[in-house]
Amino acid sequence: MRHNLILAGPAFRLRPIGDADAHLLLELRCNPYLNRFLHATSSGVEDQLAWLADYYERPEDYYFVVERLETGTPEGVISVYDINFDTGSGEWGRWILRPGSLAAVESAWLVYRCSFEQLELAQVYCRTVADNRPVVSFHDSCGIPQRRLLPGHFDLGGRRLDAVEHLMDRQSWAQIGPRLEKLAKLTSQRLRRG
Amino acid sequence: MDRQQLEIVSLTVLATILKCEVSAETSRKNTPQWDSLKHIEVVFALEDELGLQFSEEDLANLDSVGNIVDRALIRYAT
Amino acid sequence: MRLFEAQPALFAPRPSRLTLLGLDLPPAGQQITVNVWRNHSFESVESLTAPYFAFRGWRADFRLGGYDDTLMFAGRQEADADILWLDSSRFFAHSSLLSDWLQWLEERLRALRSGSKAPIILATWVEGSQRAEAVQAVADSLPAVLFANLETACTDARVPLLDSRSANLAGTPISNAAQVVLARELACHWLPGTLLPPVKAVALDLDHTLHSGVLGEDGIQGVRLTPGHADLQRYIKSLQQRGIFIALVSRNEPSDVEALFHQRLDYPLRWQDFSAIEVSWDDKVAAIERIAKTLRIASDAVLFVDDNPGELANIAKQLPQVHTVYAHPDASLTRQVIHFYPGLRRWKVESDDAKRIQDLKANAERESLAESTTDPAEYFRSLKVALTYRHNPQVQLNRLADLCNKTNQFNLSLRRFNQAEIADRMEREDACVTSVQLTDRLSDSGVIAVIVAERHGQQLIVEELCVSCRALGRQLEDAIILLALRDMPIFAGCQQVAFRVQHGPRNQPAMDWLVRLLGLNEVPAPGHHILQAQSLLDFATVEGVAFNKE
Repeated sequence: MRHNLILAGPAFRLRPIGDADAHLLLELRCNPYLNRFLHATSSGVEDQLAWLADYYERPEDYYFVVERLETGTPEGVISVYDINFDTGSGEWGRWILRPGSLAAVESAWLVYRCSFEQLELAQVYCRTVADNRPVVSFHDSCGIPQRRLLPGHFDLGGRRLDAVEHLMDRQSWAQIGPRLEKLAKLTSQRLRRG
Repeated sequence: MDRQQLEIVSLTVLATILKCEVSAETSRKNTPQWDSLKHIEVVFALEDELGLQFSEEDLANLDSVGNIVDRALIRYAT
Repeated sequence: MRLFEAQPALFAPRPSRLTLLGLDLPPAGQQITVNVWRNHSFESVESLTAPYFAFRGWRADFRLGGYDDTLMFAGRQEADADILWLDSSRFFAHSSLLSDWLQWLEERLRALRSGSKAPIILATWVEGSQRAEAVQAVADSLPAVLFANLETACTDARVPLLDSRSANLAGTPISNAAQVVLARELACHWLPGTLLPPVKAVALDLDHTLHSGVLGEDGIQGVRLTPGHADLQRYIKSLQQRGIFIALVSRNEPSDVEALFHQRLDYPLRWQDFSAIEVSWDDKVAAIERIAKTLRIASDAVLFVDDNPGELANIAKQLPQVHTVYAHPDASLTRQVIHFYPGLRRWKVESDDAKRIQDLKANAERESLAESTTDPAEYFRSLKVALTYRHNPQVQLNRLADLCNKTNQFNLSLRRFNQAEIADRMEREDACVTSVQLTDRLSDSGVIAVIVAERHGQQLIVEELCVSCRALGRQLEDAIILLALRDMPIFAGCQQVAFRVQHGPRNQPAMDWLVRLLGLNEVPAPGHHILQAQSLLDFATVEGVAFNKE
């Protein structure tokens, strides 16, 4: 949906996505280093704009651009979506960062903050293609206790692929949030050193 | 069961579940029919037919006929 | 024959996954679609159901939803049934109270029910019998919602339900062994119990079926009641309590067979347990047709069990609608096949089901009385016949849906309303669902008719009209139907009654009745046929019959 949520951390911020970001979306989704585990997309900006037009109509969908705080340079995208406000549950994903970006920890921390502090959800989960080992490993390293396998969850190019789901609720967020914040601060210090 | 018998059982399981031709060289890498959903059925059927339970560590490595036989032999020995 | 050859594999106490997946059974005809709403993996169960569906001659197209703890039912399409395949432990992992979960579950079931009239199977498990009863109560509170307790199914089969290893490998905590058992339950009991027409009678051969040996060769004391055969006979006998007729069809000397059952006191089955007996040297095709007629059921409600593949093949060829099971030398396997035969087991045994057998026994006396009396009023009085009418009886919902779906002969419109559709009409002010119960001093026939009508302006439109075979032939059809309509609250002020008519392969009795009622020259065409309301008002009640309203 069109929203006005902005979350800032020590080095990065999340801001609402807009039509002006269609080229960014296209660049990220067509990057062969990044799109191995993504649904196929067309190579036209018009299609990204059409997709965004549909996205603006979905009240349970919050899409963000991940930007460097100092420069405003976009480094990727991330979303919280399929939100069920009755049960207080949502999924986060559509997480793509430019190769070499150091935004992983902080963007994940910020999207969790969005989910629990601003959207006031009770739980949020992320489903990753099981073969996407770096991302699965990242979630595992966060120490999220609720992890499970979803066989055949994804259908990519006609192939059914397993997903690994990591589910964070408020109780685990209370433990893991401060840890992620600390890591984000360390990363920002490294960025400032250059 | 010895290695040869294990191989026969493994090939029977794979052929039945994957519904394709299999050989001693069959692996998940070279057999597109052997996807993650079929893998679940393969593992369950192997455990039934071999009368053993694979460990969690084994499960990730049962990705070829050779590895299945190797892991089964280890299970029988322990 | 391939189906019979597959019986040992399909119905072993612990079927083998590999064997099931390797079975090559004939392609099936009838297809059903089933939506599966789940929060844990279903795929490794789904693949195991296929051979069981094929055994019964149908196949299932399962449409799997995404993994969704919130049960949003996103993108629901019409289907023959909806299954909620739930790992309830995921909800309790968040420290939910049972009452909170049940409240949420009920709300979700209502949401699904409001968008669909298809039966809903809630397939899950909870710890402890109290919790299970609470879940059952939620299911019972809604029409056509059925609780498939996975724990009970596994306990009965003596396999563990859960295995933590399964969760890591297969995305479900349900154990390998349980998956096989539950696949069989799903394909043989749960789905057929709500979607297939019921099997109402089991017709059994004698030699090498109910005992080991041949009566004509081994003699009464020479035929052997093995432990397997004794168990089979006890099981067959127990089917009566569910209102399933037992029939005997054997090529033997009738006097020898009757003497067998009188002399062999070790046989659990007794001569009087059989509701129909066809013992002769006649062709079994004719015998089964006579059995169906005696029992007042269609032949597609008969399950025939015989050890002779030739007999079974002959029946399959000449009466393809009759169900057939091969009787094994190992009678415990035969028992398993019958137990799991799709359509034999229903979700609920209604009191009216159990009455069926006693009611049939009483028919012989009724017929004898009818022959000795020329005055119908005297006949009804001597039998103390009573009809009881109930409008919108919620407690009878299951029975009324059964009538709508099982009645083939006296069924005017063949609408086949299910529980949810009937429940909906019971709630509406412009509709009425009326049941009619028939009793006499010989037996309580139970609810034998259902009439569903809707008010449109000055017209009362009869959307569904079914009368059970049990009540036919007693000259009560007019009283049953016309008095029910006249008494409906929505009838007041109507000028006309419109009967909806649809032609079916077997509903000639209903057509004949309407022809007589309306004074038509020919069978009514599909569509609506009018009776002036005054005719209902002028209808005289039948002398000698007591009419009650509740």
